[in-house]
Amino acid sequence: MMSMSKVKINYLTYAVVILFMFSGFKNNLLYIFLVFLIHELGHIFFCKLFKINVLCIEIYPFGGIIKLNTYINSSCIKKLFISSGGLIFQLILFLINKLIFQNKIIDSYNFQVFIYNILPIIPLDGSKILQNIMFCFFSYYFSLVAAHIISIISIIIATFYLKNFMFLVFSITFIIKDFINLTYYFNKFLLERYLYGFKFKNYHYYKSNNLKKLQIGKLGYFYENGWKNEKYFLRKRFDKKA
Amino acid sequence: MIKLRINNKKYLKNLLTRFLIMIIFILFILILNKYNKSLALNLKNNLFNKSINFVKINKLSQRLLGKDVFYYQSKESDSMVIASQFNQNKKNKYFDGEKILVSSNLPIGSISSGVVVYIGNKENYNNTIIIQGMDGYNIWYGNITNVNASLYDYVEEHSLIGSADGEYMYLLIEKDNKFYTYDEYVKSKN
Repeated sequence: MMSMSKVKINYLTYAVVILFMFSGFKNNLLYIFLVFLIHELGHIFFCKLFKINVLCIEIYPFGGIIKLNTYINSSCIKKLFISSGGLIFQLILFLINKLIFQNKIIDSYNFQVFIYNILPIIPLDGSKILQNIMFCFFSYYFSLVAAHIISIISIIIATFYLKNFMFLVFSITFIIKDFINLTYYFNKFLLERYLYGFKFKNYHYYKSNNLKKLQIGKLGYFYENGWKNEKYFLRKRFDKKA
Repeated sequence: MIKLRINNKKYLKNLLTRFLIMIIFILFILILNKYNKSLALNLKNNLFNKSINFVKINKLSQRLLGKDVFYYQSKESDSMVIASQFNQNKKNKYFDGEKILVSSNLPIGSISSGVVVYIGNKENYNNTIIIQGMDGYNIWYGNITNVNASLYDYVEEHSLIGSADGEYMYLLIEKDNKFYTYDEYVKSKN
């Protein structure tokens, strides 16, 4: 069972709740938080299915962000299911609403949260889905950088259509933080491969000497005076120099 | 057990000090009000007669969060005929507003969209509903029963708010402490 200490509420949700109550729409809050609850339950359902531990859930005005206890190098297909779990449960809610309840407010908020989460902008589900799809085909570093650039472009397009000032401010702060941490994410990716003995089923021979070509789920071989395992290069990078 | 007792003493001491500070504060304000009449009038006006400007907050949040965030679902059925236009009805002046003659127990709809601010008895107006309109005009609907709107809720234009108690209804339109008649209000809209 989820304990209450795992659920955090961001201070900005309180501000948005107060804005709603003083604008005359206090009934709509219940419907919004119902949609958020079902969305997060979708994520948690798939986490429990794959037996991945949930560290904490933080509730923001646009939804929630879940932090998991996984490696970066774990299976990207499992993470794809987890990140799209929220949207799947929202589709189920949409069907149930159409057949049984036929409530227009739930319909409207369900649709809005769905649209906001399908955009490929960094803290939202859409970017995670995009990243996990790209991890299956491209290298880790390339997909990270591409996802950041795509999210900046989609923010510029989205602000013209959605006209939501708070959303713009939020996403820009998240993206700036993530850009600063890009090199740290890449370093963590390599460090996990150096420390923990992952057993990969696939392997790939890379012509260049560049570690940025490494891909999740594939063991890499590079050429330096002969074909060498990636461990040789990781040890060069991380071993303590005497 | 000893630790619990010490914590209880601290808590009680804190509680008593806060309580006494509140009493001192209230007495201070009462004494000030006795010797300064303008302050007393200002306080009374601000506390009992004015209300928070919900419409401003509504517009601010629509600008910040986007227009789709506030979804309004109308509650009344399609078969009911709701009156929100009183051009043809006979109107007489009544205190600061008007007395409008309507058909018996007519269901009344809101003239403008806005936030409900008061539901209850007002002197000379019987059971009233006060709505802060989005256009800046506050409208009082007097002599109403079967109130359908809930307090501090947003109400859309032409939606049911109640029915007239008998064959007449009171109406008062006010903006920035100036009073308007229904005809003047309709003219200013067009």
